[in-house]
Amino acid sequence: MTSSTLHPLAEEYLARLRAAAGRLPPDRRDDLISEIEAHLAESLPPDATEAQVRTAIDRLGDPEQIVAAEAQDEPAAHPAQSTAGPFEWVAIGALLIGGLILPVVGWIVGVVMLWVSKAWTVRDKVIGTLVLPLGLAPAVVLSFFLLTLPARRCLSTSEGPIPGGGHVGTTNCTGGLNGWGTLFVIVVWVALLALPVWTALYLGRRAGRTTADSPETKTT
Amino acid sequence: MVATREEWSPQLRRGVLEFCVLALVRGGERYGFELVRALSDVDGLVTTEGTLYPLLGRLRREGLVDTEWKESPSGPPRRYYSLTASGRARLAAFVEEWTRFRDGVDALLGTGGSP
Repeated sequence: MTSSTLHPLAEEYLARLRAAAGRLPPDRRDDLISEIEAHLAESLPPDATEAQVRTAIDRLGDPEQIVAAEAQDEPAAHPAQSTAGPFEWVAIGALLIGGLILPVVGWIVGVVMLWVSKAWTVRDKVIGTLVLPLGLAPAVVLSFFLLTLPARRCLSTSEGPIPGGGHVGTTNCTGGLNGWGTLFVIVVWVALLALPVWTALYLGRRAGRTTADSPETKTT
Repeated sequence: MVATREEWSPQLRRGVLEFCVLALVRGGERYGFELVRALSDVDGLVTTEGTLYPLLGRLRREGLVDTEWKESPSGPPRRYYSLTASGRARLAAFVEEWTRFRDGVDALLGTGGSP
């Protein structure tokens, strides 16, 4: 939109409208704002006086009222009302194991489906995307890596007895991991395995709830 | 209970407003601002111009009007509204219903004037 130079008062009005329109679905919000923006640009000459701007704004009415009118005939405005269907279950499956079937791409398909679906809130979608990227694939890759790791070998070389008893020797360990390393890897591996599974269960639970369960419709 | 003017007036307006929009684009496409100004020039029909845009959006989603953004010779692009076949049918049905309704109410109220 080429809203070249609107009067500061008109800009301030549009800012209030944008703030009020935050609760609308994005496409409805953008449509509404561009129409009102065009309306102001049409009704005001480039060198509009403050009085002219005030009249135009008064005629348009309170931004809250306009947004309320827009929200009125949109019962499905908030996502909590739709419940899970096959689409949501496929999305969860793709997030979890899509990356194993089709590396990276399979998981991205899951992410796209997650964001397209209306069964989840934005918070759910962020969790679904970030915990964990690529789903179970990192855990599986780590498993393969561990299996192909050479076993830890320690070689002690003795250089024979020295005066006063004892041996002079060095111990060289190659390959594998030491004790702390092993523990660390196990913790990481369990986390990589458990987090995606937890997220899948969480998304399933969030998508599976009915309208009555959603916090929006609950009376306190 | 007797409805006050504040109660029935908006309802009455809301009921007929969408048909007024359809009637305005019956003769050809018109852009949003033009429609809104034409409606608000009718005495008592529109209180706030801004709330007409949600109405235009609803008519579009219901498939009663089509829209198209076009460049304007001056200023920002304009969104043009035109009547679809189903919008035309809806308007025709309303005109028929409205005429009967208006005649009946006028006869009761004695506001019809001489036939």
